[in-house]
Amino acid sequence: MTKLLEVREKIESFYARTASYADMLLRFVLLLFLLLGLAKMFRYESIFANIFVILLASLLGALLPMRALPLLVGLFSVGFAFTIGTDAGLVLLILYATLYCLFLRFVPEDALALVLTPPALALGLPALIPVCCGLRRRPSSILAIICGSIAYHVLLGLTGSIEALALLPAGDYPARIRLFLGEVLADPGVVIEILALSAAFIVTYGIRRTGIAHAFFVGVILGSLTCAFFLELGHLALGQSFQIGASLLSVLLTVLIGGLLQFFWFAPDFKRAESFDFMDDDYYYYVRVVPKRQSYQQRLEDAAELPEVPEAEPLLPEDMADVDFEGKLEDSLEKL
Amino acid sequence: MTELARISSGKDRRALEICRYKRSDYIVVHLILSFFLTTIGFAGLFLLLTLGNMEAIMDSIEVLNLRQIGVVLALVYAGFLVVYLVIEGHLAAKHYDEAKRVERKYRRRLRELSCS
Repeated sequence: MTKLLEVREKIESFYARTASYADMLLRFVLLLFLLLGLAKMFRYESIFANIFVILLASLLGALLPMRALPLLVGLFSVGFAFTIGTDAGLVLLILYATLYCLFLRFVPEDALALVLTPPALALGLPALIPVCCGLRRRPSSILAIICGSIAYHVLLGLTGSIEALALLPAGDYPARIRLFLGEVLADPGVVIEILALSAAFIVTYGIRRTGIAHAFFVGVILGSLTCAFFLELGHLALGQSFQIGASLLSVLLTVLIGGLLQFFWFAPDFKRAESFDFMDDDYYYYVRVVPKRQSYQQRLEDAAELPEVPEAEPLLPEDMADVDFEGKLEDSLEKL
Repeated sequence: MTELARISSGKDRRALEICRYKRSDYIVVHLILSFFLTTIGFAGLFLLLTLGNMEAIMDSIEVLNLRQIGVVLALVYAGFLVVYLVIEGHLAAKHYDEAKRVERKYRRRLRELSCS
């Protein structure tokens, strides 16, 4: 455990020294990953799937703040949709505008949750983002997760209907739009998934806020299990087969990743927790102190680098060191 | 001095800009903005639901009571608007109060700096 703590502190120290460059690099990698994922979903069939265009967009995204990432990813997805058909592009544009006007304008700081929810759903880890947001963010973050889920399902519906859309005439807008939008709107699985993600977030957030010992880790586990439970319940309600293996694997991976993130974000040492209370004129104070888990190696190294403190000068000169001051004081008091 | 620089050029710089408005003006501006965004959002939602069910609507357009649908839509829109305006008003008031706290701290530090 000490080794892990030392590795963590080294990573934190490195990040603290190179924060601005590290953030730019992380944004570049994240945007590259997202845009390549989009290109793969749309089967690499347009100018937007060109690697140079993607690299250029990722470089631009690295220079912009995190809030601009959903805008870039949204523009790319609309561009991809326009290559399928004008109606698809317009529908996606209207969808994004609606989601922004109704929900996303209240959560501008949850851009990361918004852009990471679709890839997490695509990778079969639906509980990952709600659990991580439950550990760190506020209740309003659920809006970003729900919007990410809706956008993912519409994109999935669109990319799954590419062959069918190619067969329909270009002017038959009702049939074309029903194919990729109507199916999604009528799909109860989408509603069940949104409910499962919301439940995972609420459980994780609620447990985190209780302040019990190991609340974060308990929240990660119960949040993941809650999501899996709701999804399996949904499969049962819709008459679909259970996917217990996939659910358990998803729970395990979510707990591993969530636990790792929790180790970096918040690692209290509950074994050394102390409680005490005191009061002043106005209040009673009940304080519970939980020290952070640290390796203390960095503190020892910092202490070793401190300049040597010179020895303090003796209070008495050397020739007076043997004088019995107590005896002399007693004599003076007797005389008085 | 450091704290003054942090407030005036960091994340809290927005708080100083907000405090240039009066509280009521700031809330009203946000309510007006929210009105337009909610209307656009509601129109977008209505459009998406219509487009997604366009075939069914086109098939049954002759039997639909458009007046009744219009009334229901207007009531739903009014409900939407009320909810969103209340939320936006509450958030705008909260942001303004937080900005005011930052601005008071900024002015206090300025006074300390000018006195020292």
